[in-house]
Amino acid sequence: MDFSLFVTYWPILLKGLLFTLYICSLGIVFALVGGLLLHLMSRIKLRIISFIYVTYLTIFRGSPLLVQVYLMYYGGPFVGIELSAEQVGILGLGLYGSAYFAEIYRSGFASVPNGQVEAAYDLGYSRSKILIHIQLPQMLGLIIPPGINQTIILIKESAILSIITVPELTTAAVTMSTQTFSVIEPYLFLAVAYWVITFIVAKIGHWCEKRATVHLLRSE
Amino acid sequence: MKKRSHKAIKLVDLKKHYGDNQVLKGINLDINYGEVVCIIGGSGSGKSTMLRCMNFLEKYDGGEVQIDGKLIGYGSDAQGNFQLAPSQIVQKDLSEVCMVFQQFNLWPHMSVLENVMSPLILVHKFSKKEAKERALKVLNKVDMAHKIDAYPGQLSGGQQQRVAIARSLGTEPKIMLFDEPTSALDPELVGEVLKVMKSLAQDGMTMVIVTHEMGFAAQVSDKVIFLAKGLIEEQGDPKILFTQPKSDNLKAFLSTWTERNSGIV
Repeated sequence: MDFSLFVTYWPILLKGLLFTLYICSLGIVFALVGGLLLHLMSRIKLRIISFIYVTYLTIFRGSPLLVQVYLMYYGGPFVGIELSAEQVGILGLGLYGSAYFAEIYRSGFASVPNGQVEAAYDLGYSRSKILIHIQLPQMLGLIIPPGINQTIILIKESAILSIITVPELTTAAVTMSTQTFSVIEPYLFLAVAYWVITFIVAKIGHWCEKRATVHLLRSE
Repeated sequence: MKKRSHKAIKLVDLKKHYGDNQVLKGINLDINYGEVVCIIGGSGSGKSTMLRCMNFLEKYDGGEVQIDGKLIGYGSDAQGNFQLAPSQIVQKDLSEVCMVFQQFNLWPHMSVLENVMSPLILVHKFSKKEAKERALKVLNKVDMAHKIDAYPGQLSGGQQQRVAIARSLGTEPKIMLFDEPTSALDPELVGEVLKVMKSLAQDGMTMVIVTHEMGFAAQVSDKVIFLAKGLIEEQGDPKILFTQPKSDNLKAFLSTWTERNSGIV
């Protein structure tokens, strides 16, 4: 193995790494907010709404992310939607992630007994205050573990964006590989880099989970 | 107590059904300010549903619920059509009505103090300092001032229910509804909750209580309502109602209750 390759390539790799962090952050925030909106929408008891919800889930959970971003990036211009690779990357991760997060929120909301919501309503809380002060804080402890799981999956899936020329980490490693004819070094680096990112995310998640479940520990 | 021109609660031909099941078949009832009214009846008689209609946690299908003279839950639009009122309006009309639930429904992620302070800050726009002052006052009233930093999960059922009563009291309601407040409690914890309720009654609070505690009902209430199959079958002064029941249903209901209790002794 020739580690001297990194002397030349570290700026490219670092740039890729930063771009991965950037595009994943935006994509995941998109997915977190989009998933919540999607879930809140699904609670409206209208047949047309539940049809839209199920269709959305079927499309975005039922097909590979690769196919989705391919269609958006290369297929988009045929229907008059021209997006940059970066935009497709964020949108792709966001739409795909929303479908999964919506279901995570659903399980979270189901975990807060309706009586608590009723009591808040009876005391004059608005819907949004009930959501922010009663439901979300209690759900957090429950949705953080699957949420972190999903976040890690999205980060790893973001490697797919290299196929539509997003200048992220995997793209950088592929560039290094094709230019130097080396395989082990760039891909080993890639593996370690993704591992480090997901490791940090998992640690942050664990910390958040502990904070969000303080009241449960104190109940014992 | 100041004389008020309206009844605290007025039910006019109140009806409610779930699908084919007619739960309330036309209830007429007047409750004055300062009155303590207990509602008794077998399971499925509609007593909880009736109580929940009073603060519009259940939408009723027919008749009227009036609180302090105001029709609750429905209004007329610009064209004069009768329709459901928006929830903000309903909440405003019911701001002086509070319910205490069988399952307490405290918020487990907040401490005792936070549970009582939260509605004051978020709904009634108190400052933190004012909210804390008020919270300590009402927690003191229910004898829970020593547990302000505890979380609901650390408290007994009786303690939780007392905190729930304090949470309602903090908002200074004029009318309090109690939906089987002691039914989820271990027998030895019932007394402490009833004691708090008794002191509220003595302070002149308007209270409507769905309960299975006949002794308490006899002692505290000004009026007892016996509900059977969605209708008020008998009502009146507890001393008369409990000792000289007229209807067969009430006789049967009271005798099962007496049997069950004498069995324990």
